[in-house]
Amino acid sequence: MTQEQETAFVQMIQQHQKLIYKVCSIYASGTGEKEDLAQEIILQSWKAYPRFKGESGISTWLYRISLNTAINYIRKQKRSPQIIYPEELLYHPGEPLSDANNEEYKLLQQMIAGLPPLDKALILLYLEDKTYKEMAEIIGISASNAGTRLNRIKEKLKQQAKQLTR
Amino acid sequence: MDIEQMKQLWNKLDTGLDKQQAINTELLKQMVKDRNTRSLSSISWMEYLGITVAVVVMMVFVVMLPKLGNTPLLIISYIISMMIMVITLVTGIYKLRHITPDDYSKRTVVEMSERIEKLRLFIAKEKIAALVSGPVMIAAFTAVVYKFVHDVNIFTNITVYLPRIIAGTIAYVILAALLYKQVYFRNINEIKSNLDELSQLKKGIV
Repeated sequence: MTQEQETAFVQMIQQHQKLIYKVCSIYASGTGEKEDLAQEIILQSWKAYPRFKGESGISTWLYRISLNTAINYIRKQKRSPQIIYPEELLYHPGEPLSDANNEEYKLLQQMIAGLPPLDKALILLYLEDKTYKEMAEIIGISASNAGTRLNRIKEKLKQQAKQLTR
Repeated sequence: MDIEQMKQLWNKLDTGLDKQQAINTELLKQMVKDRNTRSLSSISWMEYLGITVAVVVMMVFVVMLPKLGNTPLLIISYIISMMIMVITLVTGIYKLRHITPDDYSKRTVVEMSERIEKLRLFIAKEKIAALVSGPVMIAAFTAVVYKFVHDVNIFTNITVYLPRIIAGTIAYVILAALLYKQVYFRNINEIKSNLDELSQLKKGIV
């Protein structure tokens, strides 16, 4: 990677760190695991960046890498030991939400945690306000499939929420 | 909590995350450098190791071939050992070239998941094949190595070596049975159901 590309890459990661944070919060549990996954996503992006030609939007590109890395990460049976850095790479905001919202957020995380990996990806993209077309581009299914699948997931989550809040 | 409430909450989280500090640039560069050096996945390392060992053993076996003699059982053992090395070599190259995940941006999430599941399925089946054929492999390899290293044909003095081979085989079979149960029932069933789910997702059957 050239010096220019390196600078552009760092800027791009800084601009999209929220995206990485959210993917990590959905696919990993515990600060150590989230940090490890964030590092893996950044590394995979670093490797792919020189080949990024802008055919798709940068966020679509980064979502694809992040979700693929996250799904591969959770499928791995053996993980290599983590390198512990003196400070965390991603700044984790302690309590970005009020106490009441925090409880709800925990419930939300609990509900999403119960979904299979691909459904997690779809619900994340839905929460991120992505269109069916964008979802289809990232996930690799047709837009109509994405819509149908999403309706099914919403129904599933509704049932789960009822059970959890009972 | 309904889906709209979830979305509102998600947006609040998003606003909260806006207060995040920028990622530490130096730390990021250092991390990429450190992690890049150990980035080759454990699967790839195993494949490279397997390929290297197979190539080295094949070369040694070819060089040592004149020492083998004409005993049919030794020739069969030699052929089996060479076949094992060829299979190790071919499957290693296949896994590296065709199914080990590569550039994470090139493939969609469904394509990548399918690739990962196929790799897992291949590895699980490979493990089972190795476990089932283990006793034959051990016996054949032992016979060839004894001949090449000690110039001993174990088949002419089989009463001495047979108990050792049987003991090793029994231990191997017990281990194989335990591992088979774990690999097959835990992994393959799960992988197959994941692949079914992916195929249904692609076809639009939800």
